Amino acid sequence: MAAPLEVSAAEAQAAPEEVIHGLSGKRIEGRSLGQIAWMRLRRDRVAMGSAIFVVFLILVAIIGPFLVQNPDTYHSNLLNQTLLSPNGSFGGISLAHPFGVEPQTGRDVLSRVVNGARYSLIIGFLSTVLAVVIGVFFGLIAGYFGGWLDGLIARTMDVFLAFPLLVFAIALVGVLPTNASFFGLALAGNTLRIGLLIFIIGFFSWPYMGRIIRGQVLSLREREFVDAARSLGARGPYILFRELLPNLWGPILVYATLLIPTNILFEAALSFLGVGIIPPTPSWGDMLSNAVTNGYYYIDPMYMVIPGMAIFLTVMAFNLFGDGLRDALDPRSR
Amino acid sequence: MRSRKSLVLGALTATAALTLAACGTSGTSPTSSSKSSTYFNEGITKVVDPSTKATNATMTIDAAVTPDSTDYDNTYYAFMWDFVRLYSMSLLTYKSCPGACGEQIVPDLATGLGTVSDHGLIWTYHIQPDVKFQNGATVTSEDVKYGVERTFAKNLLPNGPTYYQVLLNDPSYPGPYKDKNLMGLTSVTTPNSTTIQFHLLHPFSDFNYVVALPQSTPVLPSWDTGSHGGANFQLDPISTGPYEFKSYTLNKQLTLVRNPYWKASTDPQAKQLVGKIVVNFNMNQNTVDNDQIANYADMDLQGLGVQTAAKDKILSTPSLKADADDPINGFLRFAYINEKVIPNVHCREAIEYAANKVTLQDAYGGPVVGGQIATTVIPPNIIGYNNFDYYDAVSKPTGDVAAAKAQLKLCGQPNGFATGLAYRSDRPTDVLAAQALQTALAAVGIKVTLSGYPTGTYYSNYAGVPAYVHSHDLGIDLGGWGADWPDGYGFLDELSNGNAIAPAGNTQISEINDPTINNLFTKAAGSTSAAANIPIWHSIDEDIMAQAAILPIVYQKVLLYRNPNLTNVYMDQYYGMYNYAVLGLK
Amino acid sequence: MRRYPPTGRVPAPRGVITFIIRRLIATVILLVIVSTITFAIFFLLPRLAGETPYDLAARYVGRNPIPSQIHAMEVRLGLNEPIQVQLGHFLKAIVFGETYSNGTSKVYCAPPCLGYSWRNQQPVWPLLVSDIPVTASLAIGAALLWVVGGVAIGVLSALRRGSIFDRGAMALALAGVSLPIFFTGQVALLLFSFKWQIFNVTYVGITQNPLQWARNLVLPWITLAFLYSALYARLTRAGMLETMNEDYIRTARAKGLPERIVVFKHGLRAALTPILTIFGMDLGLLLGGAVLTENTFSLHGLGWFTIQAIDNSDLPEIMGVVLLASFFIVVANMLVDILYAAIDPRVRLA
Repeated sequence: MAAPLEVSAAEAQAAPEEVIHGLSGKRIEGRSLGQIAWMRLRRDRVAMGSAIFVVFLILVAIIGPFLVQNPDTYHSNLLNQTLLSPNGSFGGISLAHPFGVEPQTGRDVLSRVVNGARYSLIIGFLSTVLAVVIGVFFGLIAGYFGGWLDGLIARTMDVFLAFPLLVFAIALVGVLPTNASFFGLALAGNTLRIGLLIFIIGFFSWPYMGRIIRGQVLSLREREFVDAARSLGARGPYILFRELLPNLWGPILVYATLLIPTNILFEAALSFLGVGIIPPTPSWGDMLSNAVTNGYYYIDPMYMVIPGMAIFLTVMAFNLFGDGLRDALDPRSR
Repeated sequence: MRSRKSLVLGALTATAALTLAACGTSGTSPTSSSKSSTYFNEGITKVVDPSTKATNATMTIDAAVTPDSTDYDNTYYAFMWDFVRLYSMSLLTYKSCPGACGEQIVPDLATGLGTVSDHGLIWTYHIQPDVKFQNGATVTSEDVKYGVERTFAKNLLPNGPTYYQVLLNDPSYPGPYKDKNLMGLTSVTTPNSTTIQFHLLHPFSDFNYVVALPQSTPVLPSWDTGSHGGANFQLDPISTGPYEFKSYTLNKQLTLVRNPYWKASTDPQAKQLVGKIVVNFNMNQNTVDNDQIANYADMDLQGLGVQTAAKDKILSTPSLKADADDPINGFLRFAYINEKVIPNVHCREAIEYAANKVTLQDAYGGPVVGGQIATTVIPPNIIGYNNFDYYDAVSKPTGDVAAAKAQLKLCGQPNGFATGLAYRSDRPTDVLAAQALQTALAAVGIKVTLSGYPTGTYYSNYAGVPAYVHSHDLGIDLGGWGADWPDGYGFLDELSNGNAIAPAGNTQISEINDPTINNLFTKAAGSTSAAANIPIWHSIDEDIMAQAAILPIVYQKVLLYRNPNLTNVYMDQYYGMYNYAVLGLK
Repeated sequence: MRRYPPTGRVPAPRGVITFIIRRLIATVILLVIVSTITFAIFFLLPRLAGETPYDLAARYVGRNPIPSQIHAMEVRLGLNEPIQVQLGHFLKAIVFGETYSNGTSKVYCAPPCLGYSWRNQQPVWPLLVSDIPVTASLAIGAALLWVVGGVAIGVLSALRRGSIFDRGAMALALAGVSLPIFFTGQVALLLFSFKWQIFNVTYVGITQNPLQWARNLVLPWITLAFLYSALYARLTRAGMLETMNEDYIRTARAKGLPERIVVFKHGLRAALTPILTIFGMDLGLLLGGAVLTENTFSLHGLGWFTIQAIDNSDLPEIMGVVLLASFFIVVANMLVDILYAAIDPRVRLA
């Protein structure tokens, strides 16, 4: 389940309940939970299929750009002179250009899609990592220590949820300069922009993780193994990181996998609204945005459909894999 | 889940179906509303469906933008300057006729063009004695003076042109709202109620053009008071034109109705042919285009033409194409090449030779609906145009790599050099043009780094701030230019006069400071004959191109649609769009 | 469910009234915090990037400005005052209103006065209020569709688990949550509005022409509802499956109750409680401005207003719309908590 982008709090709310029930039912199996989950996952062909697709995507993102042609080469000769739409059907598909060419410039669509994959995945992954790190940290201490600390963190998460998310991201990216130096490191152009996007997306999605982890910890902290550790003289940090955290990998993994597609959609939306990756560097959201603002979708629908499908397939693959993971860890939720 | 495979299949099928439906032939053939015997581009040279028939019908105008202000003293948009003539008369205006004829100035409120005295320092105008405001009050020269005074209140009315501040001899006048002494503008005098005199700081032969701007519209001081005045004046500005404001919801909808005190005999350049005009602002451009074609609306206010979807429909349907015009609208799209960042003229010439005009032209929409490849700074329909092509833009449109490389050798950078390029990141055409230029220059070794800025701050904070341009190495800066008035001065002054370089909001981004050019401008300002100035404009244009301070890209074209229900439709060469002041309905 | 029953300590149950009062106070505090943070971000960030009040004022003057013009604008907009003074003005105006000059007279801006727009020189609050009906029409209409549709599909899927209907519905739901809304919206617009000319999407007010209002909103409603009902269908289905496995359902069946009562009165009610509370939050978020949908269909609601305000760097407008959006979200939060506490006796009012 991924949050749709008019941001929905839905999955952040309902999911924890299910996972609590699930995990509480499985506690007895102890450490072989991982092995059992893995076996179940392996048998789930759809989940494995989507996992393979994800791996394929990652490969495409890493080595693809070296295998396709230059995404910045113009081919004006392939365009019809009146409306600058690609000659030929389906957006000018040919052997030389398997996905056709871009209207108005004649640039090869396949190479732009492949190059765009890189940024979508990088931003999607890294922002999720950031969200997970912050969310797990705060979720752990909120859930374990309770009291005023819990109250404070819960209120902070409320404040985050009270901000109109997309608005903020747009405004922040728009307001920040095009080059700056942070900690003595001069950053410019796309490097800075990508860093900003990762930071903003990750920073705004940590409450999703935080809430879940907090819920998990609240139920786990009353367990016997925690009491046992405490009676042996263990203190807070040890319990947090050595006892509780290892039992949280399940939900962390599941919800991280389900957070990645949300963040990919978030980045696509920001690019669509014009505050994502800076052109001429290709990005899927930017191609969709061009298709819309320049009206390409009317004269060359394929140019809109291809990046849309790319986003769709990527997001769906992660959703399916995440679903599969969650089912593997808790078959009762089928 | 066992069923998840079918899930995936199902999802993919659903999307595939949607996808396939989206492909295929584009465009349906719409029904055109009335049979017209017009033809494509008729509106560029002739009045289409001329008529004096007046009806009580309502004309609906759509706009995809909001006005910077409906206050005629506070607006700088070309379409607003065209539109305000529906509810205002200025001292002078442009003649309402198609073709080059439309670039002539004629008297409107005034009885004649200005008379000059005192070696060019005093300009005198006489106004018609019987023009009335919408409330019946007679217009006097004091009211014209008050209108000009209002343009000095820049804290409240910041958007309009600043010619009066620069040309008149009143440097510290703060505007009528702050003028405690009630002395008013001392450099504008009104010897009697029908005469007004402007006292200039220096001679300025083009002063008639300044007066032809909407800012010389008379304003009744008693209307500009209380909650009705100042920044709120735009909600109901007093009218001297054929129509008056009935209601205006800011930036949403404006309704104009007939002004009963307007007389056609005093204002021959405008017409009062419909009962009501409704303008809907801030719409989506595609909706505006669709509305016109489907006859839900009569006109598109912005005058920048239709979008891709409508372009396709119009150009591929003969009956719609007959109702369209594809004029050059007087706008030049170009790139400034900054002379301080790239000081060697041969390096700049290399850029001129290396640029690929075809991909640049495509960025603006291609040869049919985007623009014509430009070789000069002054576009074809402006007084002072001269046809020359120093860099083979027309004979070698994809660029001349050999010549570029030769120039690079001459400037001592045989392997190219690096520089920055500024452009407006929220204008799709700019974005594409920047990329096209970057790619073309890369072919000769010139490595361009792109920097995009939002339109709202492009001139005020970035490309228009010389200090910023220098510190960020922005050797190339994209821009667009439409002259405030259609002669060489209006077009060239702020692009190439050394005295026009400003520390912020600068449009002389090339930072040309050539004494020859500066002197030519002074000479033209002091001359008394417009015809004598024409060779001066030719010289300046050629000088700019010889210095390679500007890379002209295209003379912009727009595809305009004329709704067959309209009468008196034709393209006004000065505004670069249809003349709104004379429209009627069938 | 927003709170988990705390194990161990069990606080004494308090009255609902006290709860409401405490939440109201918390809401106000939250809104003040949100305003302060927003203000700080939009105020400080440009300064950190090296922009001076002069640079900022330069954005609001026309072409070819003279320096005195820019200085005058600086003064008029109060850009030279320190941040706490500007923030203080803003907060004070919300509660007490403020008087502004339009050049020829003083105009009183009644509370809640969200300042004067820099770009338009007009009060922000009326601008916002005129845009609320559009967003409300969009949000509430779509919300009704997705709640009824999504829940119905989810329930049916759960009951007919494994059937063709179930698989088909869940397949569609998966597509729904994986497609970006700006893509589905554009495709819908392309097909139904431009190609086949079935729907016109220009907004018509409900008071002007109710039939046209509904007709022109069908496409945005369906696009938005498609996305959310996909999610709600999945959630409802999962919730139903869970609930139907509980012991008390088996007991109810064993008692001989008709299946319909078992499903709807016992099963659905328990499954729906968390769904309804989530719905409240989602609606609150949407009311603050469905930016992507409004952008796609060119609906001039709060989302559109926000984008324009940001494009214009118009701080009063940005503050106004962000505060309003946060208000909707926070109030929805509060109502949801009250509703949940009222419905579900298991939750302790902490």
